[in-house]
Amino acid sequence: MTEDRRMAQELRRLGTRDWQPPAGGAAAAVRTARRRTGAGVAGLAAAVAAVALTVPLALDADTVASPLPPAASLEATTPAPSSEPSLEAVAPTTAPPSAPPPATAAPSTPAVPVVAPSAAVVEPLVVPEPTDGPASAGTLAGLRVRDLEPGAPILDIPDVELRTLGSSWASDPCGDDRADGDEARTGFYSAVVPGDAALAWQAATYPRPADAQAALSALVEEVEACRTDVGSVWRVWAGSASEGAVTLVSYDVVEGPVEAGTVLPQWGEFYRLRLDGSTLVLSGRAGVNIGTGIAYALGDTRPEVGLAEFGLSRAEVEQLAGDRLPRFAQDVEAHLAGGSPGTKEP
Amino acid sequence: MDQGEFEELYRRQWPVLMSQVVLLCGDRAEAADCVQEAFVKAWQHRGRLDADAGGWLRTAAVRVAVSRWRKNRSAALAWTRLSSHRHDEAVDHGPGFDLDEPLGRALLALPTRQREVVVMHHVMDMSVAQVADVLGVPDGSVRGWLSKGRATVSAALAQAATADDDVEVAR
Repeated sequence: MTEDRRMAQELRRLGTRDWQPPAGGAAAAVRTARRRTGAGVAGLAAAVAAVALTVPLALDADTVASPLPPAASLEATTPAPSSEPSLEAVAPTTAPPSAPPPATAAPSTPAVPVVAPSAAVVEPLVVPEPTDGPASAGTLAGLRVRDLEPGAPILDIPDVELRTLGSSWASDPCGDDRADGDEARTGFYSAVVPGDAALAWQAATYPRPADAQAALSALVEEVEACRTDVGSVWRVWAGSASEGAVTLVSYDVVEGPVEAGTVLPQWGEFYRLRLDGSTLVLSGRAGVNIGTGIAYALGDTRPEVGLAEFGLSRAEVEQLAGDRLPRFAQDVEAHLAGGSPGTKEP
Repeated sequence: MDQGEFEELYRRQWPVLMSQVVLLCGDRAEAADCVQEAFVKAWQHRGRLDADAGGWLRTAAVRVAVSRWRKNRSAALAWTRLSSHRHDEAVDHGPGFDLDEPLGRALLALPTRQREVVVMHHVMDMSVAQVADVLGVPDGSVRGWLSKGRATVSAALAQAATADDDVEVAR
């Protein structure tokens, strides 16, 4: 018997040890699943409620439950794709938003069930209490939370983390990491302003345009699949696709118990995907808070929406963008040119 | 699938998954968390589970394990990078259970990636393509890690066998 065969046999034997399942484990799994589903619905309620407070729109139940706007409504915040790929060309602009079509006037896309606003869940996103440790899973990597006082707005967190990610965040909208196996991708970058992702870019590069197209198609398919399964959707609960672009509205909620010191990783994001040759670019004027994200979903792209909770002026948000995006663009372009900026997943 | 069927699935598959995932994680508690999370996902997607629920669970558990490893690693790296504190104390990656056989020790001594691919391929019977899919890497990378991992484990086994022989001779 060769060493390899012997080793394989031994490994299989190791893998057949007798383990006893924990008593009540199945019921616990069911309870956890149900709690998460419930939390997801509550999260949507919170988001919608936040919009109700911050959006100077008269939202009623019909409006909230109305179909999402199509990707075309994003034109106010993201430039149209050009034939000349350019990172600048797809940068989220900070231009004054022209009046987007109201949600109720949006062309029809499949309706996304949204629970009615609840006044019970409109707490601003703040640091629950002092902590001195890394942010919990689900938050943006690198958040420095130890210096914050209870009640401090998360947006006060000073550091910007530029990092490369696995593909799961972007191309796994349902949140179960199915898209991690994107072996055709050679780079994936994201820039965020910690806490609320005031602006975000992500770009995935593929050696072959066909692979990028396939990735885009897969992502659209995933979004569509998520949309039909609202009960278990966590990340992307809405999306629309047209003319090779897909609009994502994502919404993250805390999964699992929130412990002392956990920074609530709730933020709204709004992305547009573009396919520039072999580069799949997600660019977005992300919401400064969940309210903004939902507001965008409802067709309101004004950056002021949702800022009220943090007391930020539009100029401050634009300054954030001005400070952060050029650096990110430089790094991404360096990557595309063969460099390797930022931290990188293995 | 109703809750009764789910409980039966849990009773049948939990030991199988646990015995495999614990080798993947090298840590009993971590493995238990991963397996439990796989069952949570299974319940959430119970309408889509087909006859190969075991295979679905296996893939889910592996993905959870890999994802958790990445997150934990990212958080640790970020904290190390950003914090003014230094975390010099050793991190306990002990198995949490008695894996004292030479093979077990060799397995746990492997770099994480090599251990993952060895366990997925040889213990969980996943193909190279499936492993590559889960890890998000090219097939060639998986083959490379497999080759290195196998070589290391085989060498450890051979060394252990030699040591056993020496003990016999000494007697």
